[in-house]
Amino acid sequence: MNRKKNITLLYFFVIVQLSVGVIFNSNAQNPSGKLKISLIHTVNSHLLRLNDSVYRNDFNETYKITKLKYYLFNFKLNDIPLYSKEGKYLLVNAEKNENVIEFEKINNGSYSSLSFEVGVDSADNCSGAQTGALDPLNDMFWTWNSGYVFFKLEGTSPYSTGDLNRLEYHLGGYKGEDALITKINLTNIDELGNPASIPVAGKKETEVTIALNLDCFWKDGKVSIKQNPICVSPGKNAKKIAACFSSLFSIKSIINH
Amino acid sequence: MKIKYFFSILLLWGFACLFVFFTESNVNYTPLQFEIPKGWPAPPNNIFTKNKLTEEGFQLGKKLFYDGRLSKDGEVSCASCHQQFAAFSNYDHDFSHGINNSFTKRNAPALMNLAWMTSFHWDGAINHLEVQPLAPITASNEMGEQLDSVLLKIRKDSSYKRMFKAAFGDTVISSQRMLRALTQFTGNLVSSNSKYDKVKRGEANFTEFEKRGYETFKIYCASCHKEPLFTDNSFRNNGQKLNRLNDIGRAAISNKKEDSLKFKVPSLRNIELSFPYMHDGHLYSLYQVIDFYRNDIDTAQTSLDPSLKRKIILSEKEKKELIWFLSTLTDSTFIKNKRYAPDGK
Repeated sequence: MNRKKNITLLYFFVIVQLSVGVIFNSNAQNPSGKLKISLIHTVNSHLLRLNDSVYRNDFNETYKITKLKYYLFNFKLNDIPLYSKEGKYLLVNAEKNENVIEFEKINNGSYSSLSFEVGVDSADNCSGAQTGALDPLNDMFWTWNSGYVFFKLEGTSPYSTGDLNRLEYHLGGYKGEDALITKINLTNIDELGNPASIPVAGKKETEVTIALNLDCFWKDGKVSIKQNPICVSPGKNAKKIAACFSSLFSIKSIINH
Repeated sequence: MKIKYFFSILLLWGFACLFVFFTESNVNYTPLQFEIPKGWPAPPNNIFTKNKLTEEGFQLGKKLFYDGRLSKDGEVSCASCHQQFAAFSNYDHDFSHGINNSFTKRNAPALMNLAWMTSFHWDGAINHLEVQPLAPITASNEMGEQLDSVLLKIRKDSSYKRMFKAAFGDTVISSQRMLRALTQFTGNLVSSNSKYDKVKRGEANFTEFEKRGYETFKIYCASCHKEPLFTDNSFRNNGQKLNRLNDIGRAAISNKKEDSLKFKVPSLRNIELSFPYMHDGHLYSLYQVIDFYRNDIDTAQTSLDPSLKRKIILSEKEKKELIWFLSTLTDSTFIKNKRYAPDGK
């Protein structure tokens, strides 16, 4: 009797082990490096505060910001695509306490550059109803002219000639000449201003903080509030304003836990 | 002995697997086949690849189509401006009514054979059928509602919970599921059983009048209103003057000067039922439309379609024959099809 029981148990364990083995084995040989990217927003040398703080741009125009939302995707280290469980897109929203995306299964090494794109892949602009970061509920989809708003910046400024002194930049566009999906390539700079690597090692998670400096929004686009308080559709004007994308971002810090 | 035990355990394991399988997928979908009418081209983009067509999804889409809760005041549904008896256009309305006595700025088009369309709206602003409902739902002069409010409202309705579960496997009511269900309904509005279709299939014959009208059609109209869908999905300037709303059409979307006053070529199927005509509905009869093409094309416009630069000369007799032919594009089985009508009607 006892022997029979033992055999029963033995078979049971064999089956359990086999099933468990199948599930977990597939992970065994994969790279284990982890990278966490967080976005912060600065303006006039301070962290951006929505709604109440008054800022000044290079044209000496004052303004307040009420909303800042944008899409980032296609993160790469040295041109090697990174994989995140959270999906393809990070919808950054300055209203949130933190804006973070985590990547895993990265090969250990020292990387010299981190790149990503601002916007939404052109295919995802015309593939129908989407979910997650691209859900139209996120209020980043143009209902009257299909396509995503890549970058949304809203506020007020006494220099705006718009209704209620509105500042409203809804920048996007994925078609032909109007396309403004922008690739950003960042390199790490050490305290002395020399290029430094981005380390990814073992099971430690590397944390990279990227800063978006809003001062550059008006600087490089050479677009003053007075001239351009509002732009809410794709086209030449959006393209001109979005020229600033390439200089907005920089690596603020790298921590390797 | 050993073998016996082995098999009994294997059997138990098998039962366990079956149990898990059935509890996970206790929803039985009824797959629907999207039929391409005989002699028609395949739809340019298959809208039902990711959005699997099922009877449950179609029925849910129909309920949403006829539901006023998609609008802010609960009064305006998709069907308010897309009426089945008018081939899902807005009968006898140049512009349609939105909430708060507002008016739309363009004529509501007939909804049919949408699976063959490459873009939607008169200016082609909408690039996929699934995202089209977002435009009328959120437009202040149409349904004037916000997407999250719509979802909140329909989530409260237990019949929707049941129908979303039947269509998608669980009771989650997301924007994507709502839009895909609507697409399963609207994408299935296929009109392919007019007298014209019967003639093409060898089931009927044109009268002498209709036959001569068809010949005229082929000479003057068919290059843009291409058979069998009676549109080539292109944008063209057919020589109308800039209207009182300064509607420049496609150019507002493409940002191209050469697209000024271009509008999407509408299908002529069920044309008899979808009056008034043109993007602003300013022509009330087919007689007026043909008179417009004979006499009123504004040839001074630089973006005028090349095919309309030469004056169209038609006799009164030819005009009548052409209208006889256009009447053969009316599909009475389409407008009476109970499958497209709200439940209980």
